[in-house]
Amino acid sequence: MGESFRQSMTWLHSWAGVVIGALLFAIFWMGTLSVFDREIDRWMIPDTRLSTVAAPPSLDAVAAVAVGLVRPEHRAWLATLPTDREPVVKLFFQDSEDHFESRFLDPATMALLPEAGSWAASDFIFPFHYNLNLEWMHIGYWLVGILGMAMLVMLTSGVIIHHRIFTDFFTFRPGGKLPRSSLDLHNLTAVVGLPFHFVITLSGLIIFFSIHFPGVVPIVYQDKQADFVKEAYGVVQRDAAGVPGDLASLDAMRMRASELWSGGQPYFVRIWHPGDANSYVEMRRSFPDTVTMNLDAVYFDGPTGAILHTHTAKPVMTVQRFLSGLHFIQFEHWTLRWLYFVLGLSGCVMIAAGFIYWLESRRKRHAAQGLAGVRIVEGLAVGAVTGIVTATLAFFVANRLLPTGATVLGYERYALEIWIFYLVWLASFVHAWIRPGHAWREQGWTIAGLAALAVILNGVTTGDHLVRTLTEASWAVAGMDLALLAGASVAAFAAWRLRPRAAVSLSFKQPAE
Amino acid sequence: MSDWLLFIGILGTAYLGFALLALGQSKHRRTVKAADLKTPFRSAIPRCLGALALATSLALALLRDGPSFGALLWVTVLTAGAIAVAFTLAWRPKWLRPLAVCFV
Amino acid sequence: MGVPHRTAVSPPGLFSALKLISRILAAVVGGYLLSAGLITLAAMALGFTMAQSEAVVLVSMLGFLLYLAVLLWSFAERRLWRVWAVTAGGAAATVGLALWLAPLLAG
Repeated sequence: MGESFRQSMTWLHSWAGVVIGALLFAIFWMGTLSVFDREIDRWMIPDTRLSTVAAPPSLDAVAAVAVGLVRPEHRAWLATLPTDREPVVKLFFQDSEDHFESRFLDPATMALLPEAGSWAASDFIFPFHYNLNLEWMHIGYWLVGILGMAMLVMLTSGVIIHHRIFTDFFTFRPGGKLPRSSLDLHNLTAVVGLPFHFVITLSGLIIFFSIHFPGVVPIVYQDKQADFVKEAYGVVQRDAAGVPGDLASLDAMRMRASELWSGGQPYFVRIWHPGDANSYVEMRRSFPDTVTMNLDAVYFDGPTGAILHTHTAKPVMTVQRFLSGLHFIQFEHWTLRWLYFVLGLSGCVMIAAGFIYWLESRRKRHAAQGLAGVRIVEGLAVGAVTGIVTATLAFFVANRLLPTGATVLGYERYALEIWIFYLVWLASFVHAWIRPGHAWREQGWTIAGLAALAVILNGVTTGDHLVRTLTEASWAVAGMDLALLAGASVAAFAAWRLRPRAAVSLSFKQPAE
Repeated sequence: MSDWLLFIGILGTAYLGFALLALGQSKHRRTVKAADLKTPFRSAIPRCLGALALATSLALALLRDGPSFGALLWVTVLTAGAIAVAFTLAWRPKWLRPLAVCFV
Repeated sequence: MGVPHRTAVSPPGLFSALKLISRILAAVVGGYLLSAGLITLAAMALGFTMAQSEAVVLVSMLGFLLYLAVLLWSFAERRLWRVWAVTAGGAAATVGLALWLAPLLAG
């Protein structure tokens, strides 16, 4: 391998890393949290802390509730059925521009739950991960897509420039100077996690292949683009008749679908053109025990319940759905879910350690030569790493403090939580730039304090303190509280280790045995 | 119950496998204060056993969870195991000395 | 092991900054269009041997790996004019060919 090739890859890896590392950390952080998005939802929306019901709810009972809420401008309503991790029925009402309003139902009583008042994890943290919550003209998807490609470049160039990838496979020397120990940690998390990091990034891109390569279908299919959608996804469409009509029994339709699926159950039911004579029902099959997120669907005629169309994905599409499933992890497998969480955190550590290495290996030189690089990048790194964590915890704390129905300046409660997230994140960058040398430590303490505060506030505002949640096996809430306490401990320990002392170089060193 | 036992087996053999691979390298033998292995053949022994342990981990994972979940479980456990071995070598190298002195 | 030796840092100046921006544009935008053009042609070709929708999904998945290779090459290739020639030139050729061929195949 030519030396200049390695040199160019080294240059690419360090410069691209500095420029995009902040956003990459944000994507990895939000992605890691999204592993437990349903559990975070339970914590942030206490009304949904219900125990799981054994039997699936009656779809006709759900329809009875939906019919009372649907309005003429809705072209469809849909329900997602309860699972172990999400013990509520989620009703969505879809208008002609495909905007959705949602309400939740208690599956045991079919009672409407109060409005959530929070976007929580499923509607803020998770979308942040895949489109930075930038909806306008899909710009967020594109940005994350470019960052995903950049991540693949980082991983590949990183492997190319790693001089002794096998010899140094297990090398981690925390006791020495910070440049070396941070590089060791960066290399360790990157190399041993390489299959995960590469596949997660590539699969994330593959999920959105139609957004990232939008030109293929229009050019290949010319004016018959609907053929692609029909063949790949089996989507059925027909217009409303404009004449009222009944809806046959959804439970009967579910039984027919289940027969076709050899016992499989739907997770998703959508009624198009509700109340119309041309209404039709779309049922999609759940995938709790496969990696592949199947596209099995059955379409029924609304008034009669007759089957209009069934669909199963073709082989290549099944591969795409398998790779998507590797990323989405919607299956029931708690061990894997926790492993993904740990590996996601290792990805965050990889990026953070990369930043620290870049800074520490240049700190003396920049100070001696009066260069501003380290000062600027350090502010960026602190805001990107401890800053976004602080902002996330502020989001949780605000969730517990804001009263129901709170509005400020016309912003509803859910928007206020999100404002607080962004304002705290912005403040963390400002803090980092005005308190060089102290920012890491001070934000570490802030994280510890906010995380502990969040746990206390949960106990105070909902009564579901740890003693109760552990004894009542309310695992989602207990898990969140325990994770917050664990995070608080780690942050406090790190901040304490960073306390000012005589020695110039900081290290990960443990007290001598 | 057997699911848990199998998982401990999967994680344990992965950890053991990586520990053996690491202890086939002279720099890590020095870290745990074990004597160097004299010949390349002797360093090959812990490496082969290490690979065998990793293969056992895969077999147990496939047994526990079938082809797709099993393979996925194995790949993720491997990362966790490798990190654990690296951390052991960094902070508690003495814990691996008993394993290192099995090979001379 | 120690800290790896530093790479040759390009001399500061407006000219090299512009060259860098030019390379990034060629790589990111040109490389993307080249990849998109190539996979569109591939989808049309594969449409003769498999279902068209399957061909589209297949080339799209592979397209990301192709784009990765183009990006890495764009920063490894020393001569900037070559990067532009391959990415922008290739993009124009492949996209142009695809746009011209597609109505013929569909009709």
